[in-house]
Amino acid sequence: MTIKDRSLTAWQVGIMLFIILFSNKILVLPSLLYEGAKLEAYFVPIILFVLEFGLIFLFYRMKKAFPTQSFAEILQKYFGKIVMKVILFLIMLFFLFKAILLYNVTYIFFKSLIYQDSSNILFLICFIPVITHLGIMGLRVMGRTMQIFFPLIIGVTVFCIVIGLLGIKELPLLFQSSIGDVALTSLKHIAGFGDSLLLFLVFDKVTIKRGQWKVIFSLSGISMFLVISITAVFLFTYTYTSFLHPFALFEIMSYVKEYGGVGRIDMISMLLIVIITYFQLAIYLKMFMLSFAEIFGEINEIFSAITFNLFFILAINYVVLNLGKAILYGENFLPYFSILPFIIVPILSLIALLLLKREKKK
Amino acid sequence: MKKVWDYLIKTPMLLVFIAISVIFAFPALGASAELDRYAIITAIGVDKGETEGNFDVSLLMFVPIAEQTFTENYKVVSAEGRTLTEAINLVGLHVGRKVGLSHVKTIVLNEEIIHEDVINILDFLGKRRTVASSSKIITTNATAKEFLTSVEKLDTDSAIKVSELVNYNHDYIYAYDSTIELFFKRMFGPTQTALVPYLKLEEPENEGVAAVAATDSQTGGQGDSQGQGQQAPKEILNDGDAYLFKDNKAIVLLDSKQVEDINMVCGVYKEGSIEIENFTDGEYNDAKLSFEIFDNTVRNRIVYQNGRPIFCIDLTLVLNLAEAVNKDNTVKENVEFKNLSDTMIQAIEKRVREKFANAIGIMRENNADIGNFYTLMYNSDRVKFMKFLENLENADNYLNEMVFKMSLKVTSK
Amino acid sequence: MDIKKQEKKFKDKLHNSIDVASRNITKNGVEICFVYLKSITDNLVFSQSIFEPISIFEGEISFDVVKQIVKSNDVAVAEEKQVVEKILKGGVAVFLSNSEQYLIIDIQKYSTRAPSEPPTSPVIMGPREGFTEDLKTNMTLIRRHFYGEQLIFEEMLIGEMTKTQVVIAYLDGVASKDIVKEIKKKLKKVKIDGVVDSYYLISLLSNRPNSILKQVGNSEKPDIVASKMLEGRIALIVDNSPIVLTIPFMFLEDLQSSNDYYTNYVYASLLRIVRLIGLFFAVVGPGAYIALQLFHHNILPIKYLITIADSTQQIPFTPFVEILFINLLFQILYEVSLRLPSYLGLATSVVGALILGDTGVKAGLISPPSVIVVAIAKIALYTVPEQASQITILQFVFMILGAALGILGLLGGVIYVIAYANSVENFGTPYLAPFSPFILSDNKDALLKVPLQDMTTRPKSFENNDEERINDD
Repeated sequence: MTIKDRSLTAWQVGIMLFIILFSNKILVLPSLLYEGAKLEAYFVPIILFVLEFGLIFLFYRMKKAFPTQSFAEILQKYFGKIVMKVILFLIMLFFLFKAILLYNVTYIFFKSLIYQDSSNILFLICFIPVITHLGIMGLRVMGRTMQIFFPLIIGVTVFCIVIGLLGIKELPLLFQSSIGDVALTSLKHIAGFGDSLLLFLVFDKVTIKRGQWKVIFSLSGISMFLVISITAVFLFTYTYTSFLHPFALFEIMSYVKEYGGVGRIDMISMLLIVIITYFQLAIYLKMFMLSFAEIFGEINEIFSAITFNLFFILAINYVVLNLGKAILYGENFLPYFSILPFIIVPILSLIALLLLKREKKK
Repeated sequence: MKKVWDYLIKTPMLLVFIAISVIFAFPALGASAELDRYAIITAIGVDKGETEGNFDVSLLMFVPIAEQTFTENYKVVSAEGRTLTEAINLVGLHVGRKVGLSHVKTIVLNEEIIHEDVINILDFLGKRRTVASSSKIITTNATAKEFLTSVEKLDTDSAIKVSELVNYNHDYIYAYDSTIELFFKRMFGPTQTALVPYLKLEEPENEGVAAVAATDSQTGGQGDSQGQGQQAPKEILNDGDAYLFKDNKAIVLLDSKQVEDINMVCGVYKEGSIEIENFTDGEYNDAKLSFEIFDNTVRNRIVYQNGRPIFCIDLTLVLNLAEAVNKDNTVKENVEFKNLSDTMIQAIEKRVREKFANAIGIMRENNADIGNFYTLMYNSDRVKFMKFLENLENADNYLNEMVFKMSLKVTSK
Repeated sequence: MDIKKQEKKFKDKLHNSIDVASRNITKNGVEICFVYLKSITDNLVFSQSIFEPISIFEGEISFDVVKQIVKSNDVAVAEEKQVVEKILKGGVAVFLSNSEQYLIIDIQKYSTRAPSEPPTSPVIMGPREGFTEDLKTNMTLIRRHFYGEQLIFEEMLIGEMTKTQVVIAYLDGVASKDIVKEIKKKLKKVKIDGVVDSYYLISLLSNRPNSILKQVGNSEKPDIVASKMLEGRIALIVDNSPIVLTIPFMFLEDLQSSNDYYTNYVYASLLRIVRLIGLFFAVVGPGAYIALQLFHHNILPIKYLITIADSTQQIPFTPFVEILFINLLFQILYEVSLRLPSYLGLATSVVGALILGDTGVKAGLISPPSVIVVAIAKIALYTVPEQASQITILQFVFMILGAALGILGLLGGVIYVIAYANSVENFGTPYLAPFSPFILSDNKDALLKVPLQDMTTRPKSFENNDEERINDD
């Protein structure tokens, strides 16, 4: 028997989902959440992940109902070509803007820590060729590459959390913020979530055999659990000074770096952040390319990749690579796009399911 | 040529790699190491500047020397500026290098400066990503510049580093608030209280526990930062004192005994000893006894009586009689293997209660909740505690209004 | 048949080379001619087994009689156009004046090396036989591992001028017929003047001949080839080459060593992990060192910083140039050690060690940490010696990436290389299987190794006809 199947396997999709659910959540988000929800900020990812999990479950139902069609075909069939193109265009922008935000935050992170004398061009040269190559090589190559790094990612993340737990010395004042604070904070930072929208773009490219759905649910569940753990560990480590530390995963390790006696163990978290960022940006690029292809027809992949890169570079220069501006952009502009994964796509999907059910009854 | 070009087009990453090599790698051939462009700073000292409102920043800089003996050579460089940033930049100008703060382990604050709002001084360092949040803060009686000059000799000439001294304080004895991060955490927390070690710089004749006597100046003529005069170099003395900070300012200097008492109550003091004097019982005649502490467990219970919290500290001490100094003659038995007698236990209890009373007294006198009792009471029963605070005339004065009790259990090893 | 004419014809075709020999005898009125090449035939066998029986035969001589009386079991009838080819392969052509047929008797003999332990695959315990340059010997060495009837040898001739024999060996019912077919198809398409070594075929069989990644396996040991054939792979034995090729190939194969199968499985697992770490360090180590010096000094703890700072104070070179220089010195030493006669090797080692290890450091040209980093990287390279050339190239690439872009560039390079490796497939087999795609059952003998009794299935990473190693009939 050989591995001749050319589509993504459940494991590969699960790992992509695992990585994409990390996103900005392990860097800037925990510190930002503290400002609104204080030490109860770890409830924010719990609430938003429930919504995200709902989206994944919706994908499951959709895939069961439409096993061979793509999401674009489904939209076109039930809502028309124009609606399909508009939605996909918005999805395309959604992933582009998220990529911009992620790059900005990562740039500032590395620039302030280990690349003090380097310019933005160096970062662009590091990221753009690799993510473009991954995007052009295809989902299968991307999925396989992530599969190789997956044990490292999960191992290092767990290690960071365990080390971080050692930094928790005493309990701070608990339950200082109200449910309203938590809810408002969730709304304010909803832009950091909704990445599982990628499942709808790889709808027809993934083959999930019976019994393999649990792989996707487990991996996404583990990823969510790890993000919530990182947020909680960060908040309980830094407590009242959480707002002073914008880079959560790194700061957790940084706090206890003397503890291990091996010197800079926070470098391990930095390496993890680099690897995850590469993959996340590659996924965003690939999603952009897939939506682009659906909107403009089968087009040379390199063309769509170049389009992404052009807009990416232009937008980055506009946002001027400043953490304050990046946060403003993430809090004021991007949340509007979050209606896409949490409202528009779910509603359209539910309508499609209902219509299909009606068709079957007939 | 065309074939080469076609091949390159088919493998765009090769083109990218060639571009990277040409644009970045060629200049890298001539790029010197970052170590040659950055000054490695291991300690920062802050004093008041000569001009009102200015800061005098002294930096302890590591200076590499071309030897295979891997000796550590340090030099103190200082500059004055309106802000810390300006001062540090001026230091960079003086030494002709960029200042790299990522290896800073110690931050020294002069005694004068800590009575003002110290958070503003530390704010700059706390927000710098490169400064480790585990850097230790210490206060000193001398100027920070003098202190670092003594440190320079110590770090260069001996294997004992001041940072190790400070770490020892931090880990084993007290002043667990002395990292910059913990200090900020306490200042931003509900109690706004912290302890910071106090290391003295004294003339060599002084009594006390000297760290290591600084040697005669043999700093290799590295800098113009010395100029301290021709008298014998000063010694760093670590007597175990600490400054108590409240609301971002230093309010009182606690001696080592006071700090010891506080840390015993807070459950931080895991090692150390308890001394009892004038003990008479059996063969002990007006003896001085020293009990070694093996373990110190603190459990807290909070009960409310008429709306008033009663904070019960259950202290369990595991002790061993380490030394007995009798007035007239030597104790003939091997004291180490003896069980503690009832009289001893009573004497210990009395002593511990004295320590407890001292500690609570210090906290009440200075209205400094070093034990973080606020958080413990808040988390235990928020509603009752908030009600208690609301009923007070001055909510900040809760320490004086609440009751402290201690139950002690002493066992021998 | 005009014997003289035919004899001249064959000799002319063989350009009257000085090793062309011919004997003529007349027996009962029948002229018999023998044409052969002295250099590659056994003269004693010719005299005793072919010439003598015919010359002492008393009866009516004919072609069929000659066929029977020669003392050889490798006798064949050939057409005229095949005669020269057979002579060139070590055969004796016998033709009679009263027959139009040609008899070819194979008496090939030439000096070959005896099977010995190959220098590239030494073992502590296990078989020490290695392939030689003789095709027949190599076939014998493989045949000795398979006394069952499944072993199949199929021959092809490759090379316009060399007409090198290439034998495709596989196990019937185990190896995939599709892959065998594909191999034959590729070999048939080969247009080359000569195949001097099996290495020539590697790029011709690879899907991506321009890639630096190895896509065809090789081995010098019959036990390794046999075990690969048992897994379902196909072996290619090339005449005049001691290296046997195996297809399909996965990167994992170079991570394994024959020693692993002749030792405790826990120890074998540990060694494989060490190899992987060594491989990683060899590729990334020097680049990471350069990156740390040029971009990320604040990553290093203060004690390392002091060591490096003090060591590099007086060095005239910049970090990148220094590492390149030391690398170049090591590479020169390596090349010299390969090519020098053994009696000069000791002198070179001493000079090299002194220059690099001692004098260079004392003279302040190079620093001790740099020497250590490069030395460890160069040594670690040989934890996986089959990938030495690829690792050396990648080492150089990563040095440039480290110098140009720092740690981000290094990690980007690692991701790119792995992604590139993932895109390579030869004969339907992913290069990085069974790590990606992850195949659980194949991971029993991947990075970690399980005891032999637990390895009951054949690898699923590539196509084979029989998943179970033992079929319960």
